[in-house]
Formats: sequence, structure tokens, C-alpha cells
Amino acid sequence: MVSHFGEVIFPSSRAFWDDEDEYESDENLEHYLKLNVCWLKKKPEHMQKFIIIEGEPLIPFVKQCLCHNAEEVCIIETEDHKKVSVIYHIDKQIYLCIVLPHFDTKNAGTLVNQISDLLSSTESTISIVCRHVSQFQSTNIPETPSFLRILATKNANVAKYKIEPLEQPNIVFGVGAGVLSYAEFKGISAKLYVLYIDNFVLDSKCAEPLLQILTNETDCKLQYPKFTENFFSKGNLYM
Amino acid sequence: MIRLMEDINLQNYTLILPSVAVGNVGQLSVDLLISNLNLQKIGQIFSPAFVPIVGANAYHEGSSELITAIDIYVGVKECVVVLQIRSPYVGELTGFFDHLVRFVIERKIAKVIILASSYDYEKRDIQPQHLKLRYVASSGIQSENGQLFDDLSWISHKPKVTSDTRQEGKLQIPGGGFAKSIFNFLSHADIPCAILFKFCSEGDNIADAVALVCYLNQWIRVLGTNSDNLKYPPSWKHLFGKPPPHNIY
Repeated sequence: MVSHFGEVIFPSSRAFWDDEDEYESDENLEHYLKLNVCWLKKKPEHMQKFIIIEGEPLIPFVKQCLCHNAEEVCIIETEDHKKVSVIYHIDKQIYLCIVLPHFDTKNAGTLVNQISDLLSSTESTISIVCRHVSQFQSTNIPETPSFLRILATKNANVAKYKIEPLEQPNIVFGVGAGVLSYAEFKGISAKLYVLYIDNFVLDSKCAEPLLQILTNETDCKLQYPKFTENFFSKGNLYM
Repeated sequence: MIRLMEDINLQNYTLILPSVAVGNVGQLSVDLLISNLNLQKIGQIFSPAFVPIVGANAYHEGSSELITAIDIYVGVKECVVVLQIRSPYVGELTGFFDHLVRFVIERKIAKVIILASSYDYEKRDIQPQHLKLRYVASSGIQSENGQLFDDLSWISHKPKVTSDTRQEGKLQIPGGGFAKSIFNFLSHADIPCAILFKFCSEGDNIADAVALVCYLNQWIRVLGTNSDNLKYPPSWKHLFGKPPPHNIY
């Protein structure tokens, strides 16, 4: 922001998340996000499957599919009681964690750190994230409304469902990526599914691969979701 | 938190790490080192101060090995441990610096070299324009290698002296990320360390990275004759965007 007339403002670099381009150690840690994990029910000692959902179009869909009888068991919130994530108990030892859309990705590492004890007590972790196809870098982009790619730790069984691995130089960042990184770090079995869609909303066609994952990964009976009209505005160029 | 997948004796090794800085020059340089020396991944660092990322192996297509925000690579023949940092820092780094210092001390690593960059417009000294590489060395490195640096005609980066001339100059590397802070942290722990950096503008910084790697190689001599003909890692193929879609023609 120019504060004086005629002042030359150099653009900040792409290398940094914020404008701070030379790190100075900060004694005042108060402006860093602190998260509280509040268990509404007894914290599970062991989880068979922990599913993490991140990305706006996925949340209502997965909630409809899996959460019809599920109860909220845990809330992760900021110090000023703003919810950033909710954990549901789906069935037996299957839990679902939804990362709410307003959660700032820059704090993904902090959130993963907060749930690290849960990840350590989980047999298998599954993260599902959603990206627009324009972010997929390849010379061979599938011409389908949506497609899946997978990344997994060494000890995860990925051969079963024949999903193509995410090719370099594509990367995934955020909570899902943090969970997979942490699992790799600790030697826990984990998979990260990336759903690429060519739309801004999840319609029945785009959701097909997602339904396939949920069917494969959970033994629960899925509630087939209703696709509601979404009034998301893509711009005013064409009516 | 640092985890090594295999227990390797790193005594007297050189640790090389990038500072996430303008133009990502340090990170690109480390990519060049890993791919040209064919270094093996031996560990990982998990720190909430960095944005988590994952992807497929950046150096070998078809490999199922993951890359994460901070990975550790080793070259046994060259006696180097290389840390690659792939995402920006977003939090307090003291914990990360602490872990690194402990790792260096426990593993008896001989010295640490930080690769960085600084804004081109901050180069205000009277050296000719083409000389854009600088170094900052701790007293231990300076006493051991000062003569070599002089023979190589390296230019040291001088701390900026404030208007109050009685005060000691303050080391500043604008746009250099955490390079200066980690250098000070390591120096306080009596670990021999140095920063090598290049003044650059943001854009296609591959040439800057090549220059920085060649600069490093003048000192530690790990690349041999390959330094003139560096191989780029396959993950750089869409560094500046993907090709245009076929259906626009």
C-alpha cells in the first residue's frame, strides 16, 4: 500500500506467504494461531480409519453421504471460539474430520500438529481434497468432468482401486497434505486422494469418483446425496 | 521434529540448506544439487512453521517416494547432507532452528552452508554490476577458508552500518528470508556456518540458481567437471506454467 505520494513500493516476492521478506524472531507469539481441541464425547484411544475432508465443494456432499446419523464428537476451535474443524463419529471405529472452508491454509501445520496424537493412534488415514482442473499440470489432462489422483505412504495399499498416482510436478498443500506428511514422518499408513473437477460446484457427474472412494474406503451404507441448486456466480460475462 | 530413515554417520559432513528467499534461488540451487549429485532421501522434518505440502518424487519420474515440505538428502561420496525446503514459513521458526542446531551438534556435522538470495535493487555497493554473488562467514569458517575466498575473489557482504557510527553494523539480507536469523542462531551455538547468496530479481531464476551452485562448487568442490553442464530435475518441466491446451488451435 502506498502511504506517501510518489513512494516507490516494490512488490513482495512469490517466495513468501506474507509480506515479511526477512525473518526476524518474534518474542511476541500472541499473533500466531492457537487451536483448542474440545472433545464433546470420550476421546477414542484407537481409530481404525480417520477420514479428513478439505475443500469447499466436498464438505456438503460428504456430510450428506456419511453424516446422516453421525454425531459431532470433537470441535477444533481458535482461542476466540471460532470453529475451524469438526470431527464426527461415523461408525464403529471410523471418524470423519471436516476442515471448515474459512480455515486459513497457512495454519494447516498447526492444525495437523494439534491432531497429531489422533493420527498416531489411527490404523489408516484417508485425506480427500478437491482442486480445480486448471491447477493440474500435465501435458495429458483427462477430458472428463472430474478425475482422481492419489498419493500414499509406502505402507499403504494403493494397488487395489487402480487410481493413477499424482504426477510430478503437481503438489498438494494444506491440511490433507499435512496429514499425509505427518503419516510419512511417523510411518503410519495414509492415502491422499485429490479430486480434480472442471467446475466450481460438485454436480452428480463430478461426484462419481468421490462416491467410489467413499464406497471403497468405508464399509458404511452411504446416503445418496441430493444435488441442490448452487447459486455460485462464475461472473457476469455470459448470462 | 527430525526423523532419519536410516542411521548414517554424518560426522564431518557439510550441511547445505536453502533459505526460502526472493526468486526461490536457494531452493532451486538445492534441487540442482540433489539431481546432479543423485542424492538419496534419508529423512524428513515436520515443522508446523511451514505450510505442509506433498507431491511425487521431484527427481525421479515414476518413483512412488513422496516429497514433503522439508526433506533430508545425503551424498556419502561427497560428504554432504542437503535439506530441501519446499514451502514458505508462516510461523515462529525458533523451534525449527533449535532442532536443526541439535541435529548438527549430535551428528557432529562440520559446517552449515545456507543458500539464499536478496533483492537486486538492494545491491548498493560500488562493485561492478555483474558481480552479484556474496558470502557471509562465521569466524570459524573465515579463519579456515578466508585465504581461499580471497584467492577466488569472493566479495564478502558487509553488515549495514546505521547512522550512529559507534554502533556495530547489523547484518541484513533484504528478501533473504530466514538466512540471517539461522546464521546468527548457528553462530551463537559455535557452529561454523556461512551464507552464500545472489542478488536477483524475481522471474525465471534458473540462471541465478546455476550461478549460485557454481559459486558453492568453487568452495566445496562436489560437482567436479559437471558444474558447467548441470542437469535440471524433471519436476522443473512446468516451472512457468503448463503448455497451452490443444483445443485452442
